[in-house]
Amino acid sequence: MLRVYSNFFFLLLCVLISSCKSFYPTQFSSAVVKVNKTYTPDSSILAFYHPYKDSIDKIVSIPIVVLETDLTKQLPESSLGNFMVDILRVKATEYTGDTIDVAILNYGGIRIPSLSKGMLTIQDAYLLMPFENYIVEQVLTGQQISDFCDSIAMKKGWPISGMSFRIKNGEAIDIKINNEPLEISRKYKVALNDYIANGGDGMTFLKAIPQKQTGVLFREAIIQYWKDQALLHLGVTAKTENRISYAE
Amino acid sequence: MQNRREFLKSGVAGGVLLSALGGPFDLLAGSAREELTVLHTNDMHSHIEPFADNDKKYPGMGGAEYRSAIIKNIRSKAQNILLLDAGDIFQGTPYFNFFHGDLDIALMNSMGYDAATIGNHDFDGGIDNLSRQISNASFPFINSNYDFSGTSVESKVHKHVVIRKGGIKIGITGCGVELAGLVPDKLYAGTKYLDPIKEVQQQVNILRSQKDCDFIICLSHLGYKYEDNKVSDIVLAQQTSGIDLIIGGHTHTFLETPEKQQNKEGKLVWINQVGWAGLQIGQFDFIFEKKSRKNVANYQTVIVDKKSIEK
Repeated sequence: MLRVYSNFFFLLLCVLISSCKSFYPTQFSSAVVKVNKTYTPDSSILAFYHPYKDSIDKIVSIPIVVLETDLTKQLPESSLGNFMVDILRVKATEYTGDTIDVAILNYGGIRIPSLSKGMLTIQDAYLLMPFENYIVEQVLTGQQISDFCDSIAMKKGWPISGMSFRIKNGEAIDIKINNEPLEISRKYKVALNDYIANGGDGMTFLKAIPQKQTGVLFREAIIQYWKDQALLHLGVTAKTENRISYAE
Repeated sequence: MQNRREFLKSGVAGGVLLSALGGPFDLLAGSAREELTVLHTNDMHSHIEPFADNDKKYPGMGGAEYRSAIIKNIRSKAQNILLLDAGDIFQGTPYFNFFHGDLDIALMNSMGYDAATIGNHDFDGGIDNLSRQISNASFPFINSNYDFSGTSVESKVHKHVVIRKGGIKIGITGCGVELAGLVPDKLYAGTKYLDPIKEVQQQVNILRSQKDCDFIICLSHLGYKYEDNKVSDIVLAQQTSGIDLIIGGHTHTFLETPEKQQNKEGKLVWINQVGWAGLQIGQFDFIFEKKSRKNVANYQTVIVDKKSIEK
């Protein structure tokens, strides 16, 4: 009998000791699993999203224009950035009826790392510019442009059109507008997307400056520009041309 | 995959050995050893389909149907799985412009996500759209440092959750990046940003001392690290205590292996982030053992294997 009790107390003690213990991670292995087509796709997922895909494809798979060269996103200046910001300047000039001196885009607004040569579709315009951002115009003084360029220099370069400068010690030097030195007291017409014009991506100083609205989405402007070129039987392309460079 | 299977097999053998040594102690208190697999994604940005086969950088890569196949495959081999996402589920392909996140959330539901946090782009359809998508999700959204008072998201987001997997109690909290200047004002509609260090610490303290969690994960959309002193996952790891693992996002960082940092008490915190667009899934296979509290001072996680699964 005593033996039974002692067994019981032994077991009870075990429970009490064990309950003072907790689980701790003592080791782990880690892996990065690359998602690619070497796996057998999950057919239930494919079946689920296919109706969505079909309804979108009708709209976005429409071919528009031929891209003649591969474009890539890079700092401080890139072919893909120039491609987008040049369209912004051309279309903003058309929509506002003003001569736009400069167009500026935020680097973070380029949402894909590259665009491959070949036929561009509406899908590509969505990938390039998924945001519902509108084109706006702001009139900036030369001094404000100079400050803007310093901010861009701090961020190691944004896509710019109609303008060039060099970066020295994190500041913009030799700023030129249409190949002419920047005049501090002159006023310049600048095209932007409304995200930046409203002070986005740290450009809070722009918030106070009045905007001229175009009511046109930047993505729609891109699609329209591509259609314009296709009507003229032209392709589209862009290249880097030392708009932003580092001073040695 | 061979390496992983062998590791798991030897792990199971080790577990049998341990419980044999533990004898009646552990038989009574349940298993002395548990395994936990943490799978994670971040910044999927509505990339439902794989990239085009002629894409210059990611030809044929990604795709929800392949991600799901991999997750199902891992589920068939491991028992305790946590599937997590660190935010920016939305925005980046026409799927978001046309369906506003409905499809992204439905696919995550069917893959069995356990939790997600909120990224800055998850506000892109406006706060009411975010609110609607949180309601559509069969998993909780977790964030401790956004004050949603007075918005339609109010009371829909959890400051923390506790999830049991096997015998392990996992506490999960989350945090997000400052919205002002990053997200247009009208989209986040007065959501207040609070100090993530302070808010996360508060939730971790609750999870550790009141909820008695064995393991604490923070889902972070702060970003991996910055050149200036802006708060990041590195800063979060260093300036808090009690977090075991930070699953990060926002900076689209492709980490080859998890990064380790010492927390405020000198203990290790692991940080991981797996790029963007559903190109990769991060995987941790943890082994948990029962230890008494007095041994804990010497405890340090040991990495037994580092690898990259390339198929």
